[in-house]
Amino acid sequence: MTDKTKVSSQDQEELRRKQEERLLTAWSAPKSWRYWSAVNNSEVGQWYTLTALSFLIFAGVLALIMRAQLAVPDNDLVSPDLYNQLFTLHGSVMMFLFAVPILEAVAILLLPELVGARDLPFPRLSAFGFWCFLIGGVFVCGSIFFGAAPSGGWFMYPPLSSDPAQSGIGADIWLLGLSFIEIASIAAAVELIVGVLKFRAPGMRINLIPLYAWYTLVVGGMILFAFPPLIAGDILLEVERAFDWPFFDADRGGSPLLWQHLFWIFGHPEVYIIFLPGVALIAMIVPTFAQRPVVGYSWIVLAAVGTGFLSFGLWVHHMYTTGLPSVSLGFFSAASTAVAIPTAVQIFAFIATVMFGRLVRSVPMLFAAGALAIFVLGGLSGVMVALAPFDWQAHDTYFVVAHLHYVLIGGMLFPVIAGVYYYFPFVTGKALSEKMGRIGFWLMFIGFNVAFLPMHFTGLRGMPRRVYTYPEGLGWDWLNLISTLGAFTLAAGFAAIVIDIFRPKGKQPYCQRNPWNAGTLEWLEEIPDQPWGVRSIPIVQHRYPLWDDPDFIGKVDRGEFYLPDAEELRRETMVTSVLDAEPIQCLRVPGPSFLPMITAVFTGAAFIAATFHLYWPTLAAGILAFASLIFWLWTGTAEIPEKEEKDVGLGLSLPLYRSGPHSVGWWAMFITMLGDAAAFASLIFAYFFYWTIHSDFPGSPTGAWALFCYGIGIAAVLGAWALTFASRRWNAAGAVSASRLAIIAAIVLALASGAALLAAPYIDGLDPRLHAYPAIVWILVLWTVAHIGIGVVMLGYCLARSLAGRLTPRYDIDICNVALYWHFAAINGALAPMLVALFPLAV
Amino acid sequence: MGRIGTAGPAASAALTLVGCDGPQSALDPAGYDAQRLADLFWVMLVGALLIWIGVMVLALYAARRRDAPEGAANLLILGGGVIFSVAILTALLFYGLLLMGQLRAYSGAG
Repeated sequence: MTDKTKVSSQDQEELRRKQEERLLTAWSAPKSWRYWSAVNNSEVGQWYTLTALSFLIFAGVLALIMRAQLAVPDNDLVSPDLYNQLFTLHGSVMMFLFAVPILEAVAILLLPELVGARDLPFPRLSAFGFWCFLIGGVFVCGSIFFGAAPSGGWFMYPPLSSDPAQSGIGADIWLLGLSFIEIASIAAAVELIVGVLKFRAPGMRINLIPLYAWYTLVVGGMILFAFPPLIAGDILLEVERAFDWPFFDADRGGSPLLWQHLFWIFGHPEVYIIFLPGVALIAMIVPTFAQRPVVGYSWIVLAAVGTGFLSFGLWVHHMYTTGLPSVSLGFFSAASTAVAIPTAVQIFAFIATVMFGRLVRSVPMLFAAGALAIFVLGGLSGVMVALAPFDWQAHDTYFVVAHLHYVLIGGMLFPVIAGVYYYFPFVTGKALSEKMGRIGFWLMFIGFNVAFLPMHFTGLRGMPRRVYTYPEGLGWDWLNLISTLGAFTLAAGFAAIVIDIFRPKGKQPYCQRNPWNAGTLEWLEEIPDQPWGVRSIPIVQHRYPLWDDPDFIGKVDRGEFYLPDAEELRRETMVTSVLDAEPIQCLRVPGPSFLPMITAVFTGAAFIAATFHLYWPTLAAGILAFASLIFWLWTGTAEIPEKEEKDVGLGLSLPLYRSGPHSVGWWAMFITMLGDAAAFASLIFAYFFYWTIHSDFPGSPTGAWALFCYGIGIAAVLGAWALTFASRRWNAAGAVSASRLAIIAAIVLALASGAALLAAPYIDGLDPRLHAYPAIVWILVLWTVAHIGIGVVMLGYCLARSLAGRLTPRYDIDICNVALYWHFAAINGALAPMLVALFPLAV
Repeated sequence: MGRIGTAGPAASAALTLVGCDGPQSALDPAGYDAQRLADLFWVMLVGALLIWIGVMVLALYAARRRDAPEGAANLLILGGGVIFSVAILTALLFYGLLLMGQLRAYSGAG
C-alpha cells in the first residue's frame, strides 16, 4: 500500500467519524425529563407498543374476572351491572385500545427502517396520536374503577345506549373517549400511508415494496374509510343523548337499525384492519425462517388488496337476524364466504414458501404455526356463520364468542407475539429467551383451545352471550368450568411472555447484527441501535437486498449511499415518487417538541369535559387546544430553508422545499380529506336510509325562502372556493397583493355562505328534537358549516403567513394545501345543501 | 343423545362425549327448521374438520420438505387458494341459500 492511499483511507475514516458525530447530534433523543418531548419513530413506536400491551393486560384481567364469574352456575362473584361493564370494556379495550393501536404502533416502529427512511413523514403527528391514545385510553379504562364504565356491549346498540337513564355516563365515555382515539388512529393511518407512498428508499419501485409495507398501505386505506362511518354514528348517537335529536328513536322517525349499519360498516372492515397487520408480520417472518424469498408475492399483494375491498361488503352478516329481505341476506352470505378466498391464497402462499425453502425452527415460527392452526379453524367457523340460516341458530350465542376469539387470537395475538420475538432484537439489541418462548407458547396454545373450543358447544347448547350467570341443568356447567380453566392457562402462558419481555437483561450480551439472517432493510440496523436509523439511505434494487448483495450492510455503513451526513445538523430523509421511488426531495423532518403532548392534553380535556356535559370547560380546553395547534403549525411546518437545494451524495442534488402534489403535506391533506368525505358520505347514507324505511320521509317540502337561502349558501361557497383557487394561482404567479385580496374576499363569501346555510332550515321552522327528518337536515347543514368554518380558519392562517413572509410565491405549501382542502369543502358545501333543499321537492 | 342429522353420524359419534342434548340445544332439534339447520351444521362440521386436517398435514409436510421444485408453487397457491376454495364455497353457498329459501317459505317469512 502506498503512502498516498494510506493517507486517503485515514481521511476517509476521519470523515466518516465526523459524519457520524453530526448525525448523532441531529438524531439523538433528548435527555432526562425532556425525553418525553421525543417525536422520533423509535421512541414513539416503543411508547405506543408498551401502552397498547398494557391495555391488553388490563382487558385480559377483565376477561379473567368474567371467566371466574362463569366458572360455576348461579355464581355471585360480580354483580350483573359490573358484569355488563366488564364485557363491554373487555371488547372495547381489546378492539380500540389494543388491536388497532398495537399494529399502528408496530408500523410506526418498523416502517421507516423497513423502507429505508430515517423517520416517518410527520413525526410530531405520531407523537400527538400517541398522547391522544394514552389520555383517551386511561380515561376509558379508568371509568370502571368508578363504576361508570360503558355497559351496553362493545357495539353500543340503541335504544339501550341512546337512553341516558338506562346507560348512564358510561355510554358518553365510550362515545367521546373512543372517538378521540379514533381520530388518533386516523392520524396514524394518514402518516403510514404517506410513509409507504413517499418515503421509500430510491429504487424501491412498487414491485419491490416489502410485504409488510403493502399490508400497512392496505390497512391504512381501510382505516381511512372504515373509521369515519363510526365517527359519524358516534356524532349522531352522542347528539341524540345530549340534545335529544331522535336519530335512532323509532317513535320520532328514527331507526335503531341505522346505528347497526353505521357501526358494522366500520365493524367488519375492523376485523380485517386487525387481521391483515398480523398477516403482515407473518409475511416478514416466514421468508426469513424459510431462508428464501416469499413465494407468490404478486398473489399475496393482490389478495391483501382484494380482502381490503371485499371487507367493506360484508357488514350485514352481523345483522342476519334483524329481518332483512332474503335478497340482502343472499348477497351478504355470498360476499362473506367470498372473503375466504383471498385469505386462503395468502395462507397457501406462506405454506408454499416454507415448502420451497429450508425451515429454521424458532419461537417466531412456532407462534406462526400456532396462529395457522387457530386461525384456520376460526375461518372455517366463520364460513359457517356466514350462511344466514346457520347464523339464525348461532347468533348471539357462545358459538360466535368462540368463532371471533379463534379469528382474533389466531389472526392477531399469536402473530403479534411471533412479531415480538422476531423484532425484539431489532428494538433492544437483545434476544428473548427461547425457553420462555416455548413454555409461553404451549401454555397459551393449549390454554386457548381448552378455553374456546368447548365454547362452540356451549353456544350450540343454547348459552347466550353477555349473561352474567346461568342456572344449573342446561348442560352448560362443566363446559364453562373447562373454559375457565383454559382461560387461566392461557393467561399463565401470556404471563410467561410478559416476564420474558420485562426481565432485566443488563448482563445478557447483545446479539449479533441481523440475528436471524433476514433479507429485508430493517435488519440493516446496528446493534446496539443508533438513533439515525440507517447510516446512509440505500438504493434498493431487490426485494431482499441483504440477501442479494452480501456487502450491502457494509456499503450502507460506510456511507456510500445517499445522505451519509447531516451538515446542517438537521434531521433529513428522502422523499421519492409514488410508483418508481425516484428521489424528488430532501425533506427536513421536525425534531423533539412538547407541543404535540400539550395539544393532545388540551384536546383530551375538551373531550373529557364534554363527556360530563361541562360545556364551558369544554370550550376553554378547545380554545387552548386550537391555540397550541396553530402555534405548532406556525413554528414547526412549511419552514423556508436557508438554501434551495442540497447535495445528498452520489452526485445528486435535491430541493429542500417542494409544494403541491410533490410535497408530503399535500398527500396528507388529500388522504385526510378522503376520510372526511367518507364520514360525509355516511351522513348522506343516513339521510337516504330514512327515506328507504319511512314513507313519511322527507317531511314537508322546502319553503321558498329556505330555498333562496340554500341557493345563496351554495353560490357563496362556490365563490369562496373559486377565489381560494385564484389566490393560489395569483400567489404562484407573483401577484401577492391580488392573492391576499382574494383570500379576504373568499373569507367574506365563506362566512356569508355559512350564515345563509344556517338560516335556511331555521326559516323552514325545522325543530331537530321533533323528528329524525329535521334532525338529519340540521346535522348535514351543521357538518357543512363546520367545514366552511375550518376553511375560513385555514384562509386566515394563509393570509397571516403571507403577511409574515412565511408564504411567498416560491414557498407556497400552505396555500396549496388549503386550496386542496377547499376542493373538498366546495363539493361538500354544494352537495349537502342541494340534497336537503331539493330532495323533499323531488319526491 | 337426541335426533341427529343424516349427514354426520361419524362425527356425531365422536362428539357423543360432548353431548348434544339439553333443553336449549340446537343439536337436539325439536322441529322441522331446527332439524334442517342441525343437518347443515353437521355437514359443515365434517367439511371443516377435513379441511382443517388437510391444511395442517400440508403445513407439517411443508415444514419437513426441503427445497421442493418451485414450479409447484403456483399450482399450490392457485389450486389450494383459488380453485379448491371457490368450488367448496360455491357448493356450500348454494346449499345454504336453498335452505334459507325453503325455511323462509315454510315459516311464511321473507
